[in-house]
Amino acid sequence: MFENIRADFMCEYGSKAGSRFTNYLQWLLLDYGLQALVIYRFGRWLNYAPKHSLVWFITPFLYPLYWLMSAWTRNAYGIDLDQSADIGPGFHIFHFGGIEVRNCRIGSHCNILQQVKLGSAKTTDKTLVIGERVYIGAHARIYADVTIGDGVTIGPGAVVTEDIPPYCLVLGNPGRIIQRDYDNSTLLWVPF
Amino acid sequence: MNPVSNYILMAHRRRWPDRSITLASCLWLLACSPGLRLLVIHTMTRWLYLKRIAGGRTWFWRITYSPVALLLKVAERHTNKTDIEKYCEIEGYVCFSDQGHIMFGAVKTGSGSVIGTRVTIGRNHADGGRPTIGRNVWIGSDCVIYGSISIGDGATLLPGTVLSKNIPANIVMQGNPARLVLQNFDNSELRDLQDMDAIQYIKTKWEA
Repeated sequence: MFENIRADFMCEYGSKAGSRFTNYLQWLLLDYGLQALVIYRFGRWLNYAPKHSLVWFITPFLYPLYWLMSAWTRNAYGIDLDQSADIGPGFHIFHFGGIEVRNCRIGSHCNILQQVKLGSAKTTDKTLVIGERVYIGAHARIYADVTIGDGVTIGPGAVVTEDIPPYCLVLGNPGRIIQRDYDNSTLLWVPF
Repeated sequence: MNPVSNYILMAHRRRWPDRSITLASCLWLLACSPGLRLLVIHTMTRWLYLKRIAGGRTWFWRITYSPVALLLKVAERHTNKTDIEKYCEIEGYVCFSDQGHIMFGAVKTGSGSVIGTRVTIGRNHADGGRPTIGRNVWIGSDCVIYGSISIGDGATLLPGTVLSKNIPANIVMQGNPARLVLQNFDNSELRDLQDMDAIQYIKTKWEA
């Protein structure tokens, strides 16, 4: 949990000089996406930690705190990062409002924008798998159990219903591959 | 007249077309219409921002800007899930949807434009360009408009349009990617309707 949160913070504000504790607090207050992400990671840690360490006797008291905070992010910011999602480090949410992420596996250093809906049906064994450094534009929706490769750029308002190979640009509804070998390093929050 | 009274007039005309304007109805609108509240808060924060960047008694505006504007902005974000950037220049008679979820970053918005719910208007992350919206534009719900583009006067964007190219005046666009539906369409009736009434209006118009 702590390594992931550290990676998130570093990705968000690594370029800024100085990373004192007060700076971290300031970023956490002003960045709603980061708040939601930290609360999501806290919930994941609550599920994971009791199996591997002796914190199991504290976690029952921490669960209500998690529920309250996640309800706050859902209702006040409209960012719903469900525990069924597995989000890699360096995740970045650009704005807030109408974001839903559930039943999916997301690689490291992905960026999503507002009104993005990611997820698959809970009944199936397969899940939605998203690779590393994927940029998902505003109002994009991915509901199907598809695999999306590394470095894919999904344009604003796109609806993806089929597998996407790596480094493609997907636009439109239904989503079509407009360009292969598209470089999305200028779009990402942290360029690679 | 200042833009705030124009916003109130527009919201009043859209909500109660056949009722005369009284002080009580204006106060009711200010209290109960989130779209109007957005515009009023934006006007206040933008005024503070302009004062701050204009120079002159800078220390005073530097002290007042951050707490006041931040409080108003945060209230607007939490209640409405809406964010209007401080550099946005919005003329009078503009109307925002009451349902919120709007991310607004257009450089300039002409008078008489109507913005629907769940609309994103903003920067293209590739080149950083921002759109400019003309007068009397009707933007339906779920629209995304991005890039350094300009939208002509009297254009109509039907719900669910994703637009990243310049469009001329008085045309109707729809779809993702956006396609031309009609030319020389007069959207003055559409702009006076509320969200659901506007959708009904479009349906009847297209079936006929």
